[in-house]
Order: sequence, then C-alpha cells, then structure tokens
Amino acid sequence: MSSFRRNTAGQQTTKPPPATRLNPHSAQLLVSTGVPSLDDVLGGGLPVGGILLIEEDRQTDYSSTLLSYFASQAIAAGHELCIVDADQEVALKDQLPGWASTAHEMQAKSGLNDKSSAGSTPDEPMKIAWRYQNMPRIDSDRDDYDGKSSKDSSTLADARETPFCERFDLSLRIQPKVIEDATIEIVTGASLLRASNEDHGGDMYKCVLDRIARLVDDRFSSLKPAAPGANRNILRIEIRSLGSGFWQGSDSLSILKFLHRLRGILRYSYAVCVVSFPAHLYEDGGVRMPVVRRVEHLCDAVIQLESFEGTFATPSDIVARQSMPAAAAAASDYHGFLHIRKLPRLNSLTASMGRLSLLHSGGGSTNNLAFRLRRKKFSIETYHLPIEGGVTERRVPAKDEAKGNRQQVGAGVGCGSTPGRSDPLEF
Amino acid sequence: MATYKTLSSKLNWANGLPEASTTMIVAGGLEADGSVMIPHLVNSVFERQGQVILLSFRHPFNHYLHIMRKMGVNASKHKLQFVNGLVETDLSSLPPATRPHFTLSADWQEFYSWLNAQPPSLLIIDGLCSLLDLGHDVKTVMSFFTACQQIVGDWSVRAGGGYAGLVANMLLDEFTELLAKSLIRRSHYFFNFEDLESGASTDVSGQLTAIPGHLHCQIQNSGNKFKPALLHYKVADTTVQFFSPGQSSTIL
Repeated sequence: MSSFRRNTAGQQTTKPPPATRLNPHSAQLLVSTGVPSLDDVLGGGLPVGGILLIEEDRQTDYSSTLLSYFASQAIAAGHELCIVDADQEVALKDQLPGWASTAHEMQAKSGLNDKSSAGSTPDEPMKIAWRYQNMPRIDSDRDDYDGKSSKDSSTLADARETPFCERFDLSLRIQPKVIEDATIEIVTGASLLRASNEDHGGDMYKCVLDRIARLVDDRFSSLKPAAPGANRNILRIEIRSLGSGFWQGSDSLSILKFLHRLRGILRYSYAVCVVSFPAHLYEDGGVRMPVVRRVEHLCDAVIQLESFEGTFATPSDIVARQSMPAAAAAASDYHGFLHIRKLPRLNSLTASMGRLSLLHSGGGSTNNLAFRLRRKKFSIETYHLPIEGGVTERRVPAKDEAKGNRQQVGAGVGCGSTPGRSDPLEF
Repeated sequence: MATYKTLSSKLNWANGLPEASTTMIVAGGLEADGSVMIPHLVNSVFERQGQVILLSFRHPFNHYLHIMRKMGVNASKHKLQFVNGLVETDLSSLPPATRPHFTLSADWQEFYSWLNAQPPSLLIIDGLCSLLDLGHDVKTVMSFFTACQQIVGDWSVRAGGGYAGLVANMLLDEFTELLAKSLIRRSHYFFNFEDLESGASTDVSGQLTAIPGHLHCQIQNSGNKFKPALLHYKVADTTVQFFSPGQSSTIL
C-alpha cells in the first residue's frame, strides 16, 4: 500500500439527494419516473432540472397512469411533490398506486426469499433458454441496470437506504397515512382560478409559474448553498393537461412563455417537472398547429402515447371494437405505441439512451416501442407482431379431431381404396 | 477536432472558418440540433487566438462547458464570454468558472453598449427563436439581430482586431419559418440540420445542407469559393463526424 494519501480533510462532502443517481456520461443527476422501462428509454432516468412532456392520447387516459407513477415515486423516495391541475380536483388516495417492496424487505429479512424457497429464482441456471442466462433484466425488483449504474455513481450509500425506483403495484393503493406524512402541494382548478384572478389578472400560467418559482427559491435553488448538516432534497412538479380548455392565459403564446421561464427556473434548481399535454386539442382540420412543435422544442424530453383504442377512432368505434372478441384479444397484448419525439440532452450533444438503454440494444428498433397496462403494472416493451392468427384459437387440429376427420374422409370414395376401409396409402 | 475537417474542406473554408465579418444562420429540428456546429466554431476561433461571445437563450453556461470539455476544448484557457439569456435572476452566487459575464435583461440597449465595448469576437446566439416564444414578433427579433450584425461589422472595421463574425442558431419549424426566411436574407451562409431524408439510421444522426445566403454575393474574397453541399453526420459524445452521403466509416 502506498504511503501517500490524498488530503481530503478540507473538502466538503455533500450527500446527494435520496433516490438519485449520476449519469456517468453527462454528470447529470437523475431521478426515476417510477416506471423502470420508461427510465430505460430516457437513458437511465429523468435529468434533474429538466422537463418531460407527455403528449396525451386522444380518447383514453394512459398518460395519467404515468403521472400517478411519478407522484407515487416521489412519495416513496421522500421527495417533495407539487401537483398542478386546472381541470379537476386531485384525489391522491384513489389515484396513486402503492408499492410492494415493504413485503419484499420483510421476506428478505426473514429469509423467505432464499433460493430454496423460490420456485425459479433468477440465479438458478436455466436449462432451456440458457442463452438468456447472462442477459440483463429490466425489472425494478432485481434491477441489474440500476445496480450497474449505481456502482458508477457516488450514491451507493443512498441506494441502500432508498431505492432509485420503487416497485409499484397498480392493484394496490397508497396508504392515506403515507400521503398525509408526505410534503405535497396541490394547486387545482378552483383555488388556481381564484389566485390567478386576484394577483395575476386571470393569467393562470403566470400564477402557476410564480408559485413554482417561490417554491424553488425557498428550498430547492442550486444557487443557494445547502444549510450546514441539512441534505438536499428533490422537488417533483407534475402539471396535468397543460394548455387544456381550463387554462386561461393573457394571450395565445402564454403557454410558450410559461415553458420558457419554467425551463430557466428548473435549470438552476433541484427540481424536475413532468407535464402532460393534450396535443390533440391543438389541431386544425386534422393538422397540428405550429405551437405544438414549439411546445415540444421547449421541453427536454418528449414522448407520445398513441393508444390503439383511441387514436383514430370515434367513441362508437371503440364500443364496437370491444364487442368483437378477436379484436379485443389482439389488443390485449399491447395497448398502444410509445413514440419518442425527443430525448434529454442536458450537458451533452447526444442522448445517453443509445448507450445505456436495454430496450434499444438490438439496434434499428428505435421507434418500435409499445406500452401495455396490465392489472398490476404499466410497462414499455419492444413491439413485436403477434403470432399469425393469435394464440387463442387452435390452428392445428387436435389428435382425436384429426383422426375423426380422416375417418370421415375415408368413408367416402378415396383414391385407390375400398370404401369404408382405411388404407395406409390414403391421401 | 479533426472530424470537422471534412466540413471545412467541403465548404472551402481555410482554418475551419469563413471570411471575417460574415453572418451564418444554423437551423435545426427536434432531433437534429444545429448546436453541433458551436464547438467547432468556438475551437476554430480559439486556434486563431480569437475571442468568442456566446449568448444563449436555451442552456446555462455549464452545459456548453461540459460539451466542450468532452470535445477537448479547454474554454478556461481562452477568452470565452457567456451571456445569459435564459433567466433574469441574479446568478452572481455561481462559482466564477460557470458564472455568466453578462445577463440579458428586458432593456437590450444595455446589452448593445456592453457588446460594443468588447474586442472583436465571434458572436454566437444560441436559440434566437426563443425571443418569439417570449412574445416578441418577427420584426423585433430582426431588429435585435440587425443591431448585433452592425456591432460585428463595427468590430471588423477596427484596426488590429481579431476575427469577428455572427452565428445565430435556431430551431426551424412552422412557427419560426418566417423568421428563418427573414434571417436568410440577411446572412451569408445558411446551414440546415435535419433528420435523414431516407429514414432513421443508427450510424447516421442526420444530414446537413449548406447553402449560400442572400448576402453571399457581397463577399469580396473570391479565392475561397463556397460550394453548396449536402453532408451526413454522426454525433458521438466526444466527436462529430461529417461525411459525404454513403461514406460513413461504420458502413464502409
């Protein structure tokens, strides 16, 4: 061992915020969206100081599922949360999915999670699909990707305390007491309208921006040094249906001014923002208005959910399709496409998705992503065409059925055979 | 920075830069961002011992420093001045290395007089179209651009000055189309970065079309004749490779 030691006594060691990790390529702090596969698509997570825009689908509401994951992840990680919704009142108790890791931790402590007790643990050598043994898995429960990156980062100590991404279960609901204990600021329709009328001449965008600026300036500004002994925390801002009919602005460009100033505030803060945007409301004769493209430019990452049910269908089509069993069965595999319009490029010329993503490791499948909403979780996967004819209907006749058919054929006039007698040369 | 040599040779630019006091417009799209030109131009000016002023409406100073460090450009050793156009808040608490040298306020006259007092430099405006987002009309943005152009022209006249020029980077879409057309009329070169025409590819990030602007015919130095060109490019973390269509090193 060398006798030389680096003198680190004078250096100040600041602990990173909980449930964060560093992107090794851009030195950018990342937080999770709550959906591991979406984190993967975004290049490891959502960059702190950035804005993710989710373009809502037309008739369905899958974007709110993503937003509920984002809010639940904030509560699970101990981050502060600010929800803005001009359309309706927010009922978190009914919307946010609960997480199941507490049960897992208890199992791990009591030793129930041993190899012997589990039926097919991932560590067990595979006998059939052995080629997949060494491939990494996208799973928040045993997140190899997460583990690999967190080794690179300096958040190892925190990773043990608070996982980067919690494992959520859509069939569970978050406990009311946990919501009460969390620091959540909710700005909704009626109160927002009142506040904007009183102080900002009815401009809701200015009112929300002012609120966010004050919140950031209070505790999350990176321009102010952290108080001695106090740890930094992350502010998660969730803006639902920005620019919908309920949003009032001073002019038609209010949304652009809002996003430009929001970006400026976030760049010098420990805050991250997810915005859902009803882009289908900004169409003129089926063609998107130019302002939509500007909105996309002003955000750091843009994804679009295009559901199979709602994109190009009228409500009557959707009802008609539900009554067709074949169509319903085909739609059960995936629920829609996920289009990546823009990836975060903070501190870098390139998006880190290409190097880090497992969903894109095959190459050439950049845009072939689909999402599916199961009973317990929402996931993004590489889109594959279903097996021809589907798996619900048997294409090859069963053995007995085939035999019966052959006998029926044999009963008629065959080629070179006696009627009523099976011939080995029959065809 | 050897990877930009193809671009310079295609455009007939000696030392990676066009003639002094020229104006360049760089336009990009959602995925094909024209800001890949900025490190090249900054480095080429530094090689000539010149100065750069970077006015950004899109990113903080730290963003550019990170990119340039990865591309092998040490900005701290050269004269790079950063003007913050993103926020109007006080950024004096930032460390000196990442602190902006000037903050653009609502009163542009202050900026003009500050700019006038600077030595001849390459002025780069990143995100000029953000002025439209802030509610200014095309006429106002053009007047801002023209004022900057005049200052750059004054720099060139000064005796013993270094390299002076103006580069405006913007995002081109339906909303900014009129501004782009107006800017092309007041520029010498126009560079348009866009997605690959033939479809997405893992080995090619996009294509660059370089065409002369309306003022190109006024360039006196006819020795280095500019050739309109179509190039493909690949952006990596530390390099940007420009090549002729079909000449990607990963394909060949």
